[in-house]
Amino acid sequence: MAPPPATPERIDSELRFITLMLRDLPDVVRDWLEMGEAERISWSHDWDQQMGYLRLLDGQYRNGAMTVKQRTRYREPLAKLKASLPTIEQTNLQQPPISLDI
Amino acid sequence: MADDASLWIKELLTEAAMGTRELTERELAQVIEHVALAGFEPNELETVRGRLAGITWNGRTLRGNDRLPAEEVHYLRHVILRQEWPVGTALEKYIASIRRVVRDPHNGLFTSRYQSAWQLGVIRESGELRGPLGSDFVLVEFRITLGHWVTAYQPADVGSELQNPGRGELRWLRRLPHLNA
Repeated sequence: MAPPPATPERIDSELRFITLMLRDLPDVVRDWLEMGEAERISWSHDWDQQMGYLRLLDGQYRNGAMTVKQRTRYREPLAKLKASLPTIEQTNLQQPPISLDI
Repeated sequence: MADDASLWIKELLTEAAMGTRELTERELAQVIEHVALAGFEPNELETVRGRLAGITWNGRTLRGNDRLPAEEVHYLRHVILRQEWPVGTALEKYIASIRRVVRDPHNGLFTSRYQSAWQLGVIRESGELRGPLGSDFVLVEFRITLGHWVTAYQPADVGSELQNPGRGELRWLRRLPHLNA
C-alpha cells in the first residue's frame, strides 16, 4: 500500500501535528503515573501514530520533497525529540524510529 | 466488564491471544459483535491538552486542561484536528464507522500484547472513511482487560504499526488479504 501523498500542504499539516504533540509531551510525562490506564494507552497509541508520520516526514526531508522553509521547520521537532529522549524512556513510549541527527 | 457475557468474551480473547485456543467461527462472530458494541469507556475522561486547545466544541472553546469523555477526545483528535475522516463527519458517524470497521467481514483481526496487556486489533481498508489527511487503513484497538476501545485512527503505515517494538506476541485471528505484516 502506498504512503499518503507528499503534497506541500500535507507536509505542512504533519509538521504542525508533530510540533503540537511535542508541546504536550512534558505535561503528559508529568501526569503519566496519575493517568488512568485507558488514557495512558490512548496517548501511547497516538504517539505511535505520530511516530509513523514522523518516519514519512523524515523520508520527505531526506528525498527533497520539502520546501526550504519546511526543511528549516523540520529541525525544530527533531531537536525537541532529541532533548526528550530520556523523558520518552520514562513512559515506555516508542522511541523515535528515525535518526535525530540532520 | 461486569456481566457474564463480557467475562466470557474476555476469557475467549485472552486464550486466543495466548495461543491456547482457536476460536470457532461462531465464537469469532460473538467476539466481533461484542467488540463492535463496546465503544470507548463511557466513564473515562481524558485531558484535552494543548493539541486540541482552541477548538470550539459544544458551544465553547476548549482549554488544554479540560477533561472530556474519551470518545469525544478521540473524535476531536482524529476527525477534527487530523482530518483522517471525511470533513463534516459528526461524532455519532465516527463511532458508527468504527462499529462498521469492526463488523466488516473483510477486515483483519489480531491479538497482541501492548503495554503489558492483551488487545484485540482490527484493521480494515479505510475506503469511504478516508479524509483529506487520512491513510489507507483504519486501526481499532480493544483492550481486553478494560473491555473497551482505546483508540481508532488511520496509521501512516500499518506494517510499521504492527511491527512497533512496543507490540509483542502478535497473532492473527483473521488475516487481512494483501497485507504483508
